[in-house]
Amino acid sequence: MTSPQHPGAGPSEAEVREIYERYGPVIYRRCRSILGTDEAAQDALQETFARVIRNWDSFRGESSPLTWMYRISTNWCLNQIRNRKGRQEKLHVHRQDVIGEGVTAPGDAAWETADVVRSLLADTDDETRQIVLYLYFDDLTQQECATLVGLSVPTVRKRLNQFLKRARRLIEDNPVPVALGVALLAWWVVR
Amino acid sequence: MADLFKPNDGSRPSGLALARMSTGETDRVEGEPLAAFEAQVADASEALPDFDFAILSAASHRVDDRDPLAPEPRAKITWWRSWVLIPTLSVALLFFMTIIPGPSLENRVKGPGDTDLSFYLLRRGRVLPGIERAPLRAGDRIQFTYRADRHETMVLINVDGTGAFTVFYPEVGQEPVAVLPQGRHVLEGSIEVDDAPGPESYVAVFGPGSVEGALELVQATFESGGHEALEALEETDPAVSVVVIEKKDAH
Repeated sequence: MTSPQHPGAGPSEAEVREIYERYGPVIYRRCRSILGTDEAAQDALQETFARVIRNWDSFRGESSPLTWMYRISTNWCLNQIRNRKGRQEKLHVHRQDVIGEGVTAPGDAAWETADVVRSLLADTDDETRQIVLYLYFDDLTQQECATLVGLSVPTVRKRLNQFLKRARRLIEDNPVPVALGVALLAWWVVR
Repeated sequence: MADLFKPNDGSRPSGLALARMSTGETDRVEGEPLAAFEAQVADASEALPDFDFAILSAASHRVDDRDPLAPEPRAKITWWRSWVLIPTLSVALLFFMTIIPGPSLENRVKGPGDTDLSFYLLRRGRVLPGIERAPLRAGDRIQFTYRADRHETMVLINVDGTGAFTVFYPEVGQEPVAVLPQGRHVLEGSIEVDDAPGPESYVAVFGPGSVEGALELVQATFESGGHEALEALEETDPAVSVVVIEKKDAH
């Protein structure tokens, strides 16, 4: 990756329009899927293209511009998930997809209080968060995921297994909601 | 959305693969998955903002010069919030430790088990991300990065395609090398790939009692099932991380 370029040497309007029309819809669809709302997806799309313009030379040098944009939007979306108050709602909706069939989940009330998935993501390192996002939202194979994240396949598998192990443990030993509520209060103060 | 317990094993195109087909980056493979994907894109496009170069250009001026692929930094905590945060966290912690029974606490405290060995590939002056099982050529150099997850020592052992074992770290002596216990770090020095036949496994054993003990573990595992057994060991032993490479044009 070359150094970021300043906008003075940036692209023309026609060049940006071309990539916007070509890649904008798929990037937008993906961001909406991850973030859950059109408003958030519009922000994500704008920020992604802002970085494309800012790093135009790097963008043009990529063999797969779309993959490069995926990675940029991934960073943005993960940051939004980490910082956004309402992120648990989106993940709550899809909790059964995350947990999978055949695993006993506690009642909805416990889920809403404990917010297991958000708790997991909040406690997870950046690499694992990326892995979970690529495997879950993009349905990437572990090999594709490893290439994008820059890790080995066994490492991706190990991180995923650790993530799922923690998910299962949290479901089975659902922590006392009150304590989590206090922790959430602390989180709310920080955000 | 995918089911994380049933990861994509390659039997279906990933979302990225479909997106690349849909945008013309790769050849289209017509079928239900691509049709469904494009229907989703069409649906999403209804809310796609109209192209506005002025807005995007202005937004690009706000973007800093960090590598766009680097993770976004976490928000800083303002000083007055920290005064609220510290007592709040203290109360939460106290409550947690006194009220919550042991097993729940285990869920909250991250233990060892997140060790990792990865690598960069140095080829003809370029630095490339290391990809597991991607074929390497004689003359390529690999530089490892690691995450020791609180362990303070490590031994790195190579098992080549002929089943020969070589201890790379430490280079000499019988004491495991010291590593930094927190964060990801680059292992000093790089290793040149030779023309011996592949595959090769690089096995990092974190926190071993001795080099000899680590070597015995790796040898016993390899003898029980070769490189696949070493990869399996990584998934069962949290103190072990493995990188397997293939060789190209090896004699």
